Amino acid sequence: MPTHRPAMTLRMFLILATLLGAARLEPLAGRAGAAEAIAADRQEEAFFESRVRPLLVEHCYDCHSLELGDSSGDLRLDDAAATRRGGSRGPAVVPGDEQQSLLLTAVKYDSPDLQMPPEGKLADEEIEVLRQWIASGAYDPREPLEHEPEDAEPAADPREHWAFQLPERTPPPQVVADSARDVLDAVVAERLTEHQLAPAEPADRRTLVRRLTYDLTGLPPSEAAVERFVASERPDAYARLVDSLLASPEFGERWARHWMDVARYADTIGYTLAGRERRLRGSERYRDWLIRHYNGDLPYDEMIRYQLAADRLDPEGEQGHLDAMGFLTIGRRFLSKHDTIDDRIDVVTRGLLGLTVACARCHDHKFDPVPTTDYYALYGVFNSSQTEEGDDSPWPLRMTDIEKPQDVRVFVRGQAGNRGPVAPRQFVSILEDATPEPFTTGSGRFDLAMRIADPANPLTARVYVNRVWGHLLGRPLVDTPSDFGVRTERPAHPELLDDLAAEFVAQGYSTKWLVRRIVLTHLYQQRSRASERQMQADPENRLLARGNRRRLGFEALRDSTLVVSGHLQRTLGGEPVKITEASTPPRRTVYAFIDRQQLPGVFRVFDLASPDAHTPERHATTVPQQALYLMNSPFALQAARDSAAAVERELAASATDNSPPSGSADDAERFVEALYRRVLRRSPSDRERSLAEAFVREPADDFEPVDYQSAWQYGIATLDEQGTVSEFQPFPHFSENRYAGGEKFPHPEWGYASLTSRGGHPGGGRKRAVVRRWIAPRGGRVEVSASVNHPNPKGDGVRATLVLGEAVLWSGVAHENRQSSGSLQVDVAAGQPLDLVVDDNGTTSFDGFSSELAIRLDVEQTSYAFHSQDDFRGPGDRRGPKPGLNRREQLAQALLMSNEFAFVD
Amino acid sequence: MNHDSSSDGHHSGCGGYTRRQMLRACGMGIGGLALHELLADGQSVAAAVAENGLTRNSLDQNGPLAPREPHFPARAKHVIHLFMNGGPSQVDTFDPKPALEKFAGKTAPGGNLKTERPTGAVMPSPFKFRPYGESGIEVSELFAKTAESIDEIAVIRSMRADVPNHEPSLMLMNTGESRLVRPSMGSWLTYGLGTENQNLPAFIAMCPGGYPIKETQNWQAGFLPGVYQGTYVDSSQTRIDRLIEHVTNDGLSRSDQREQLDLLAALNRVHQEPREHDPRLESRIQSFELAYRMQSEAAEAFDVSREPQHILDLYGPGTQARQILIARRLVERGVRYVQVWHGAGQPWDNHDDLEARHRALAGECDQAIGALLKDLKQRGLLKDTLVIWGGEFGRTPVVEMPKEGSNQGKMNGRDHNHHGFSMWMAGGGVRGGYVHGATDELGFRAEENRVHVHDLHATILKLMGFDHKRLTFPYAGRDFRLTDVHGNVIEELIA
Repeated sequence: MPTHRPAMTLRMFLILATLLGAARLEPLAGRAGAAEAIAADRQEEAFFESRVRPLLVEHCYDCHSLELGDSSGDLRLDDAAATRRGGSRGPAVVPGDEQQSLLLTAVKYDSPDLQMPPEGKLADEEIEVLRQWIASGAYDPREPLEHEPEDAEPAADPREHWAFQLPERTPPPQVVADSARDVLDAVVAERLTEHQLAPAEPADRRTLVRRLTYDLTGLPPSEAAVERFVASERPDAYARLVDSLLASPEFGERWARHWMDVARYADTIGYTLAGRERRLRGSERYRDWLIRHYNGDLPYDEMIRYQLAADRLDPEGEQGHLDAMGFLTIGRRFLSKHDTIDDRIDVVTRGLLGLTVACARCHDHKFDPVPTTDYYALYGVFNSSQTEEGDDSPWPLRMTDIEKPQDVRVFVRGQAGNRGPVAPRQFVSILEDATPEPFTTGSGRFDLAMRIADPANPLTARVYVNRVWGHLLGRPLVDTPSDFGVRTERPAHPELLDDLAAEFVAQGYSTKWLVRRIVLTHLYQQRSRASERQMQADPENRLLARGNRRRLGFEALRDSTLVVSGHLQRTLGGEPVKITEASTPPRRTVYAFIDRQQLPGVFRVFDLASPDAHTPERHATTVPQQALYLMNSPFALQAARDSAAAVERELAASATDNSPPSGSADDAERFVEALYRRVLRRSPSDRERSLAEAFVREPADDFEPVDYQSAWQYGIATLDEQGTVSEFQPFPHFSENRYAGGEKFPHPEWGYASLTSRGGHPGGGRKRAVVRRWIAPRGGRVEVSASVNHPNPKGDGVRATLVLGEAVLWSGVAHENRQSSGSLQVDVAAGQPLDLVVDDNGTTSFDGFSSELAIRLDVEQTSYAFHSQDDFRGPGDRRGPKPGLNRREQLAQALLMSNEFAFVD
Repeated sequence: MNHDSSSDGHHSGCGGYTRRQMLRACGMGIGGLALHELLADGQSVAAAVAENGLTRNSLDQNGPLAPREPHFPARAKHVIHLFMNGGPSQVDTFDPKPALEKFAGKTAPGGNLKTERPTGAVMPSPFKFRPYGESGIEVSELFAKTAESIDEIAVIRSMRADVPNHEPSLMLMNTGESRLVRPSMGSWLTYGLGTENQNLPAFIAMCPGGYPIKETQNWQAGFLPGVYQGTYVDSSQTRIDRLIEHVTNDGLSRSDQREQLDLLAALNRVHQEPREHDPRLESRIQSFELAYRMQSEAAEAFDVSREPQHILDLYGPGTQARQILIARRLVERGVRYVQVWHGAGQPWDNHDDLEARHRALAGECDQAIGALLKDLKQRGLLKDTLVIWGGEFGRTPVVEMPKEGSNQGKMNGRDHNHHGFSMWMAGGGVRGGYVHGATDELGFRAEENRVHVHDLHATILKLMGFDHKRLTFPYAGRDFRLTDVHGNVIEELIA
């Protein structure tokens, strides 16, 4: 808090002022003697210091002061001169003139355009203080404050910024390196010479086919494809491989997913009030539109136009392009309209133009030539557009123009109640040569699409080419792929970006052309191993003297695992699937259901693009939770089983009479060889072979996973005076989450005897005590605690007895209270029952009880925690666990976890 | 996107360079140069990112959770945030207002401030207040056990937020921004500090029986890497495999898994040999060892049955006691930030039957909170652990009017109130036995020394060793921070 703030609160002052006679606070008329003048000055000062300044500090300085680092609307109210000078709308205070003083207008809340403070109208008495102050001449002793030092660099003309110039083709250098296959290679090679570096050797063919197949399809090459390419002697083998991969349907799946990061794709709308439906109806149609048109190589400029304005280009949806509008409508639906529009402005400007226009929501952009009027020009466009509502629309993702599109006024400081000048709907001003022309077609979305997809736009192609380069080379040329603003430096090889962008446009915006050109360069095909010299001269590989080793993203990693296990479904498109559920179809990860409100942990752990906002680049963290998923998830364990089984089938199919018998040492050798070829697409080295064979020759531990649910039984039994449990009879019936004697309840024979997850009711007498029985699945040390609660004051309560074999561990009578055993420790043998017996303690009236039984079983280093509530299931719901992994399956899992599987050289 | 930049840590080759030159020369991949070594003179990661051109990717690759030093010496190393979601009433807990009796049933003299729903006459507190400790701070009977440690506590009676609605106020309290998607405070702090125990998640959000409203957005990482997001734990569960995802294995015995990971490491070494200079290969190898250890350590950390009986008795029975005790076990093991939510939905949102409901809710947690403070203190952990208590806002001192479909036929509850409410902090460098600020006569509006949520955040960051204006992350064209363009450190709260 500012230090000059008086300790006296306004309320205290008002009380004092009332006591002292408020008449003295009336404006003073005329001037008499000097003494009176001084007295008047003092009164004005007192009035200002105790009444006016605290109001300004409290309600205005947050947004209008130097100290708090802000001057919204270019207005500061923290010194006298600044206050009189005012802000973008004119003087805040004109001494003696209530009408001209905008401060007063704002606090009165009379004008719909100017209402301050934004958090709510001041109290009437507070407004009156300000009125009196202005009316009486606005005495203001505050000294001028220093201006903040400008930390911005010398203001070069932003129009000169490299990224705002139209990209041009690059002439080839005079000396062309031998390795060069493209003018780009020659340009880079020339620059490397200046740094005493040279281009790296091309990667070996095995590496190259794997790299290329992942980059173009997101999947590993088949073993046959690898061998074919390695063996091929055709000079055009590589180009042919490129063409076949570009033509494969998996290309569209891979490249659609890249674009989905840009488009903040999700299948739900986000948070909703009162549990309203969250599914974003038709989301998958946008994803499928992308897959279809990446495969069909729809030119990028057309993709842009459809994504922004298909309602004008394919109004009836005859060509299916209305689904493209998911780009705009697939974002989070915020609770406020302003924020939903903000999200759309952001995805369009950062996603397509590499301009951070959303920074200009509250004030002119701090660095880039983007004024708030640019932001509100686009706001007006989207505010004049509407999305389809209702469940029956055939085009759930469509956006259309409203009937009467209109411009909006700037929201000063982003506050909707605080209107500034009108911002005509038009394009981002820095990208227009002259004064921007207002948009004329409906909302202006169509005009916006045309301006972005215009060959004369210097950013659109550059931004896209940079993204594609990044996906293929592992690192974009411009490090901030969604920010090409004035603070963004020209990349190390500007010619690469410019030449690709210029020719991309000339080639009709063909993505496949672009990908093809890049992967045919020597730059793309270089090996990734770094020499000492390279590490010293260019550790970050900015100069591109070698390839970049890359880690598979989550989609590619999971898809590859499914390929290896032999289960990947290749169907294109369709409803999203919940990949974290047990019985999910083995589809590619691009089809995973993405719930943006409850994103599964595994998505987060593996750095998937956040569906909440446009993602320029994915993070690539390494954390143990990723390893836990690969070690322990049901998905990973099943993939290990399936992969080993597929290898065994393969061996069986190729077996001859001379084949070694299954399980023999020679068979292990064949297994290791076949498994390596299946998982890593190569034969193992001698060293690897001996490690792997030694591993599979050891027997696996006798491992049976603990089945928590099956450890429990529910029934009745006789409890004798010695605490011996006999004649245990399981309940024959289960319904409504309750074990009982039969469908009829109370049951003629079993009475009220019943057990639920949280308690139950004893039957009558000691022969019908209810028993919650736990059978030790392993021998070990047990720590057990039981509690029984009988809240009812009526009746005589229930008796609980905890029995292990012959021994009574604890007993207690609960009646209008809770009885607890505390923590007991005891050794158990495998198969030994531990019973929590509850009997009626005499009479069966009012004997409903709740109970809890927690058991921790320690076997060597491992603990198993059982709990009566967590583990409770009906008889039909108990699913036995899968068997443990044998040694070969364990080996398969190890290869699926290996660095070689997870990285692409 | 993965970058292939790296170095194997040729320290010697960098001798005599400035930090900046060294980073340039030795590469941003910095395999062998552990990030905390680079930052050994107290420079924060954020500052390094800004000042040294450390790339996001180098942060990603270097163990994003490696422990790091903040801007200046920290008073607190860990946070336990006890979130009373729904909004507890300040005039019934930590802000005694005798004037409520005087005006009981009458119109509030200053008029009612605008809140979410229509409100009526002044409603006195049904709970008794009395002074506690040497400081003599008055606390209501609802938190009598907590109040036994009042001399460790700074009560802030002048909190304020922006609006009287749950969703934006939860977002404001957790992320400093009501509407847009931004990282939560726990994410910011794990980004800034890393964590001391790699075998446990750095930031854990516990809520029994489901999510609070706004769900996982309350602990979201926003634009920070996903690893900084809070790990949600349903603390009504007891079994470890339901508490932490994939932490148990149903396919291999522990000893087989050990052998399997040994084989994996051996195969990875074979792979690594011709691929020197790539720290990511090494860190992925290490991540399997960390994961292996996490399996036993996490199970152990969440297992309160390992506590001696007198500790279990101190915390008392029930889910609140268990999760608050787990919180202590977690910070004891180095977890950076633990958020403990009272329950799914918004349990403290008592628009009606406030007396009975507040009594029941406080009854569930007071003993355990009191136990936590004493337990932390006796273990010497309180000085390093910042305990924060509060909701997303408070409640009105005036009664809420009955409304069809919600509190129909009842006039015994209080509406939301963002104009003024109470929170408290203890431990971790907080000035104990201190009351900061005041509301008006009735407890409606914060009047003296008002503390906005942004100010609270700035103060918490200060206690954790950060200048809130310098803990930043570059995103979408600018450097973002928890407090955005706001926030003043309340120095009086710091001992």
